[in-house]
Amino acid sequence: MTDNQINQLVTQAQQGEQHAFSNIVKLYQQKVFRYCYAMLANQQDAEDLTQDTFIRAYKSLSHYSHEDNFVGWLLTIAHRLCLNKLKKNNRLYALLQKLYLEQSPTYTDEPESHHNDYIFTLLNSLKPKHRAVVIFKVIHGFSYEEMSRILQDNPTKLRKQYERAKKALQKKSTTIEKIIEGGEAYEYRPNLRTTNS
Amino acid sequence: MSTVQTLEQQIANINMPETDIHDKVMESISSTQLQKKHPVNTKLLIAASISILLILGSGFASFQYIILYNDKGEQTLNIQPYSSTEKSPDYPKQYLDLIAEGEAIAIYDPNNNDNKLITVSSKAKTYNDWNTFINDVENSYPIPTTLPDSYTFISGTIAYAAKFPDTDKLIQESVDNGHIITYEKVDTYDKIAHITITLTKQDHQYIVSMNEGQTTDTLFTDHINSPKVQKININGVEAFVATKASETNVIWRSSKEDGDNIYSISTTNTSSDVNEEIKAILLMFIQLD
Repeated sequence: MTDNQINQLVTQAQQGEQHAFSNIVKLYQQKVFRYCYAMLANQQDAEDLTQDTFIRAYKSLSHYSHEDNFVGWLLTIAHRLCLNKLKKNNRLYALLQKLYLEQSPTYTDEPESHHNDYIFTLLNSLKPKHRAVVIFKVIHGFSYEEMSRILQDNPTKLRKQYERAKKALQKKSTTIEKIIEGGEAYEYRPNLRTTNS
Repeated sequence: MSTVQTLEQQIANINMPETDIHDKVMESISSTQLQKKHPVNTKLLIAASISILLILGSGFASFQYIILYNDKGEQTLNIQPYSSTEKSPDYPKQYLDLIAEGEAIAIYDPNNNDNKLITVSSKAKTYNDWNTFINDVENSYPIPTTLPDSYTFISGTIAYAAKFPDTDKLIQESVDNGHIITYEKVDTYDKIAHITITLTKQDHQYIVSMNEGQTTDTLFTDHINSPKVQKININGVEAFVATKASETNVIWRSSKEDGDNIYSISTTNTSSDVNEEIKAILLMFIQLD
């Protein structure tokens, strides 16, 4: 779909045509979900926040300016919701940390699940803002300019953050591999939910 | 041994599940009327068959505007007068006879309808037994399992959220046939859009209406024109109270912690203790055991 077609859909949605917004949801739900899932490492939470993102976007359509990139605008909403969710999870994590640290990581035998757990352990070791930069850069393939509009930071600073995050990931990865080889338990941050935890 | 390049590739190759939240989003948007600040050519009014919430009463109001706040200074609800140029949701009642309980109908009346307002009305299911009623409401709205002895349950209704109608088709059919009223049956979701509970205590009747608040910022009412309009504080959140000669009407939105629902209470009680009575009823629905 071209930028013009997307703009047309957004204009129709702004005029109250829900079928246009329905098409927008279909078009971008996976993209928003990919970001939320990578940030939160929990499918249910990611789906809930993806849903919230579109509901908030619908309510705020009048504030959207066509000079902005629509996907970027959606992801800005998703990003803020993810940061809020992570703050809540962190508070819960602080309470439950002692309990979880006594447990060994519970990897399954499925290679895909193992791969995701490993990646999430790495990503979760980053500060949320650095994690967002890595996800936008590596999973979404955004340029620093594009990221700067979503994260509302300057591109040079984001480039530095990405370089620092890469080094931190490398260090964490090496640590994990050494511990796994030694057969010891390591700090594993579980996927926390705000409910049913 | 992993390299940085490998790590980037591994992150890029993370196993990403597919998701489909489309219906949930559209259901949420459709189940409650959304008022937009930008100009619209076609508006959709979602109303339950016995709705006293979206548009309360049928008179015409002069311009006023009331905003309710919570104790944190956050805005919880805008209350605006109902415009006389738009249609009352009362008029589709005759069309509700065309559908069964639990179904919905969309009606377009071109007369005095500059905004091309389309009303979607869900025909509520009616219950006369409390246990059956709370069983069907399940966890959609917070209601107590039993009522205090001082209250008598008279009836309850459940209306289901309607799906979005084909608005263009309804309007075009109307134009093609000489601007007649057009209507079509609309499918409903399993989600409950609106419930009402009619109670009595002593000689007074109370009709409690609940809608989810998530997608509603503005409610329209002509009670804003009542002889006595005031705000009272219930559980840290302001409520709008309008008193007429023979009835009192209250609109209140519970906090997110209490479910973020919009409550409307209409009662024949106009005595001096009515505010306390209404507070007690609202707390009965949010302070569950």
